[in-house]
Amino acid sequence: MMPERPVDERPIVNQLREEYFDLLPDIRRVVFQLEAEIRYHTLSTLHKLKHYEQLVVKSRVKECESALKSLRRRQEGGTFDPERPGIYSLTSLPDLAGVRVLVFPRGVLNEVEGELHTRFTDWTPDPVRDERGAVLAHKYFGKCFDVSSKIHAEYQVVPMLIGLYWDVEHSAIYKPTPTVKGKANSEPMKDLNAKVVRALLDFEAEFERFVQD
Amino acid sequence: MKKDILREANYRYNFDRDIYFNRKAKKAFSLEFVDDKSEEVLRQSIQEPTDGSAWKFYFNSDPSEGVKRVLEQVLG
Repeated sequence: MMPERPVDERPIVNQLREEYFDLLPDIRRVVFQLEAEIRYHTLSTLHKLKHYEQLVVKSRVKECESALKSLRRRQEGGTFDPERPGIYSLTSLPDLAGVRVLVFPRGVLNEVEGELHTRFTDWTPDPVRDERGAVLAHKYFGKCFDVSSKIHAEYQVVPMLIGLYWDVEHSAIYKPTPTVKGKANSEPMKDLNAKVVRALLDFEAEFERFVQD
Repeated sequence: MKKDILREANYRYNFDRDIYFNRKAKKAFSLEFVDDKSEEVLRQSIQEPTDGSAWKFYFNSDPSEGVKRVLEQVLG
């Protein structure tokens, strides 16, 4: 649940909750469509995977409270303007519907990324980068016009080891309890996070060298 | 580092609103302001005298009275 909102913000939050449930059938349709298309376009790769290679497709509908928080954090000062309630819409979010493709190892990931990019040519890239600017994961957003012109969707192609780590880290860092909240984004935690990601990438690179020998 | 400048001036970070604030100084800086402005501007803004009667918000775009009201409720 979101923390208690100041009185002035509540009408906008309630209006956006209402919008969310109006949009929900569309969001579900988009997730279903995007997941189906991604599964179809990665099928040839899936069928020729070696025993140590993996490809997993996961999808999710962004939850109501998560969508509200995400929209609010896009405003400077993380605050909805009570004097302009009409300017906010959840349809401005790029990821109400999301599909994540987890792949191991890197060689297969590049193949999957290429296949999907060929299918979703008009989608906008928004890669996830590490602190040095290197691409950690491929991310694109766009629309599935066949099923909805309102909802933006996102798909990601992510190294499996990092994606699974992010699942745990996201719950711990981005959805913390109040006592954890102040410490989770500290410099030591950020430093350790970067080291974990680096170690996972190094493991994957070494593994690929190992199996190619 | 801008974060060190803010920490040394006793500013805390509000994770829910993405702002740095100091209740004693009654000043708040948006993350966007901190990211976009130079260290020099940040230091000047921290040192800028105020009468301390109301919160002063340092944003890239001036916040409306409504936004100020919400943040004043949040910051106490």
